[in-house]
Amino acid sequence: MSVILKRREIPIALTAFFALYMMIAYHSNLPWLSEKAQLTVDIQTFAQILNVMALGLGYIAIMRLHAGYVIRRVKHPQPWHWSLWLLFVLAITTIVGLPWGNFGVRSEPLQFIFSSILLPMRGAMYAVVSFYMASAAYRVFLARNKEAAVMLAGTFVVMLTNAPVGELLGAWVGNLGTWLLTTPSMGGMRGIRICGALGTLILAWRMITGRETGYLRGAAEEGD
Amino acid sequence: MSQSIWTKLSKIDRKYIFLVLWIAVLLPFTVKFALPLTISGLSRDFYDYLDEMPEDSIICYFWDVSFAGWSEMEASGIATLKMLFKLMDEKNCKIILVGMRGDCGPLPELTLKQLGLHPDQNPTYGEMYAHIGWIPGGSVGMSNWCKDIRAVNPNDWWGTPLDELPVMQGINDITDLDLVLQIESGGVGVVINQVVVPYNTPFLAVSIANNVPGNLPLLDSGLMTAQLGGIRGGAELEQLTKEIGVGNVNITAISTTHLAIIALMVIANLTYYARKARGEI
Repeated sequence: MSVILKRREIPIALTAFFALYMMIAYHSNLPWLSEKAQLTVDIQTFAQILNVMALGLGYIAIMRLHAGYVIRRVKHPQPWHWSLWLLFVLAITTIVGLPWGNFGVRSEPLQFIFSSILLPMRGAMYAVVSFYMASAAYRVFLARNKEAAVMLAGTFVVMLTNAPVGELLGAWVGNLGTWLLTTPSMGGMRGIRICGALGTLILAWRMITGRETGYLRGAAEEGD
Repeated sequence: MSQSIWTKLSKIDRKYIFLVLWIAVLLPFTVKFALPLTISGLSRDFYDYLDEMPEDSIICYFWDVSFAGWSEMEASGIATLKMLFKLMDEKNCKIILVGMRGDCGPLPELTLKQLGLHPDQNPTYGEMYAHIGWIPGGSVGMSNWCKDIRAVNPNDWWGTPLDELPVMQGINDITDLDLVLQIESGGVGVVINQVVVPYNTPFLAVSIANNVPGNLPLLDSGLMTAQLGGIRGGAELEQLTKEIGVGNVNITAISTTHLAIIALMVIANLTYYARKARGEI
């Protein structure tokens, strides 16, 4: 029985059925096959429940992974004491977030974690990137050839357009920056979006027909 | 042999670059000065559309911004929210806030607290505005939410059943909404695919600056009605609504940092060509 359940044809068939059903339902107005049909609503509700359960699965997976690192005192991919710290923070956030005593999702302690720890730390991480970008721009943003020179000039104009200081140089800076964004940039973006959509369609078709099976494998089996 | 100034400049330690950027960031916060800010067409369209909303409109404000992105989106997010509450006061509009992912539940709460509109601070909560939590399940969750709001969010963020909130009376699905806004740092695909295309609901985006160019084709095609972009958009909306806030402080720092980075790139290019002329490269 377990051998049958492990056959790849089962998840491929399920993927094909649900993907085709949802694609047709999205575009169809038939009462029994549309966005509002009861079966569509039930499938979507089921997917939402699966999505929430995946959060729990992720919680267990991260605990298992990092508990393993701590037990084995690993040095790679990072020293084990960082895993210990992660587990500690995970435990504190879980305890504070569970609905007991003065704790819970909307309790003051969890709000404190969100607003006074998570929010400034994530903001700081995001901001630090700009320092490395400035350093990288200094090292590599050089007009080594004509193409690089055009890109550099465009960068200057768009940077000046996005900051009020550019307007001190005259209205032409803003006008040129807006033209760059709304004409060549938009044309390129439109092309990227259309190509992305076509690529998604092709990937979906390959998954439906069972030619694309990468999503069936776990990380450990990668390259099997 | 001693190195030339150009060679030294080309090998400058990055800590000096970081220092220059630090000074550029801190300057506007220590020495108060403001630069003139012209209102862009994008922000003007965004403001005009909201300003011309008919009376008694029902507006939903989706929150899809990460905590990392909030540092950039705070100005435009709060300026938009203030304008929505102005519409509530002046035009009797109903405002519904909802997160599009887990970490977007606490953000509207924090913002409401900042504006003095948290239920603990404002007893009128629930009459004309509500924060109804977050939608699990991404695109699929949004699709379900559009068909039946209560099926996904039976209670508001604080656990009060939606049926007990006067603001939610008569609001059951997406067709009851007159306008959808989304503050986003991760893309507008879900709202476009699940709200705008199937239901033709007018849609305004408050986007992180990175996403503005990528969203322009959607604006051009009419799928998006207007777009407010990044800190600059926030600062412009603050000026349009005459509610000057954090955006107008941050935009000066944007100017000084952009100038610093441009100056660094100019120096780097001068260095490159000077070394090339000397035959060092």
